Amino acid sequence: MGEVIVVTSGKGGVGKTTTTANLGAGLALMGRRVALVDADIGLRNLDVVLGLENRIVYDITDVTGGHCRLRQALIKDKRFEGLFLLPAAQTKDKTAVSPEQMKALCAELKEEFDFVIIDCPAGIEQGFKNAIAGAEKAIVVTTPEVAAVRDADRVIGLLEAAELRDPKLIINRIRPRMVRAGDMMSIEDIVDILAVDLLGVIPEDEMVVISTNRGEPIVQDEHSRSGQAYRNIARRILGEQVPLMNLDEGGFLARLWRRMIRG
Amino acid sequence: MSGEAVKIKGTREGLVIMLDPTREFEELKTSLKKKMEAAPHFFRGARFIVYGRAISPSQQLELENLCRRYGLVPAPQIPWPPERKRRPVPGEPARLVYGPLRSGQEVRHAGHVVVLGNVHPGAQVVAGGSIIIMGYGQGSLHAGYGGNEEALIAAFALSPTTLLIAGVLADPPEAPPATGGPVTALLREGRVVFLPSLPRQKP
Repeated sequence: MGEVIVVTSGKGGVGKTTTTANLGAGLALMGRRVALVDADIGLRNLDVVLGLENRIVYDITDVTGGHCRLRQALIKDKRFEGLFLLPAAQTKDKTAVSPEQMKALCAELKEEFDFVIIDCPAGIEQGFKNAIAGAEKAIVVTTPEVAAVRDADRVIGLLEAAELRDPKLIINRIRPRMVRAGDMMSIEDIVDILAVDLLGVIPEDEMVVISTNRGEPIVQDEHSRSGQAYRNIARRILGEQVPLMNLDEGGFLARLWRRMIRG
Repeated sequence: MSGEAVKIKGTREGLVIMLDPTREFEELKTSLKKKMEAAPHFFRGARFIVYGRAISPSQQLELENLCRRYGLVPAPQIPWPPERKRRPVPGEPARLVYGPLRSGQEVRHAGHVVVLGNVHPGAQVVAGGSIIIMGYGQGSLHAGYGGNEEALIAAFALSPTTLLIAGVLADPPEAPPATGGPVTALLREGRVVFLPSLPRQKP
């Protein structure tokens, strides 16, 4: 029996989809069977980030509408043993699925998978309500910006109201140098404000842009710091005690070195 | 049996003849008569009532007539038992809210509100009375909603997005910095002022 985790944020563009893709791939790399569910119906992205766009035949509404079996709609990711995607529909909207259908879908998926990770749409309307309906745990993604933290706070309140207690926090795109200069909220500031447990911190990394555009999750990049951060989070989800990585970018030479080994 | 069957108690309004409810009526009657005989002129002209829960109206009348014979004047308006003065319970009722109050969450209450935890930006508290925050007071705070000018807002630290007391907007809404302890906002001469402590008594 698996765990159903929803990845949510309130605000758009903070990295929900990237996080979902990388945690899914990371957990699969560690030998777990993972189903990723794209709940962002009408604005599907997870398939693009995973590079699986051209393999979509059926989508989530085909499953809930009874047009195909769940197994037929699940796309197997050939690069990651055990990773599957249930894509969103692009031609429909959030009302195409009901919370009850999501609950039934998640219950069916967790019979077969160790982890079911749901990529929640931005906002707090019907799409959000659908995405959290079948979840047992929640991960809230935020960036070190006041607006994103505000929205995360709102979403945590809504999650608690929906009995999804103790959501875990991921802080994405932090820039340690700006934090040191006092130009960006620090990890401590954000955790203080939101009063929830921290699951991990992803440093700002240009490589993420490249990897998402190519459809190759950064988590498999041994040399990337954000990839390392995602691997750490995956290990924490599996119950390991992994300390927060040192976010210091190092000096010019260290950066040059990393650039060189990346090729 | 201990004590007398009939006691006569003097009050400001007159005499109260108190009957022991555990005694038989005949015993009460004998006892009362004995008291009157003991000082036949002493009670003349005094106003009185007979008080005893266990007797019937006709029995009560009988005792009253007995007293009349000794010159007493019935006065049913004597207040007895005296209304017990309610000792005021210190404090006032309030609604207790467990925090933190997150963005989008709202508490509305006609009386006082106590929040155990922080009030985050985007959260709202509207109270007819005072607001006490056991944490940081951010968000939108309105005490004395409906015009209670005695209402106050107290918190460990105050930096709300908006702060109103009885409809009066604080401008700027936050307490002056470097108070470093609890801070109270209240109305003085129609303006919201911030005090670097909790008030010691009702303003």
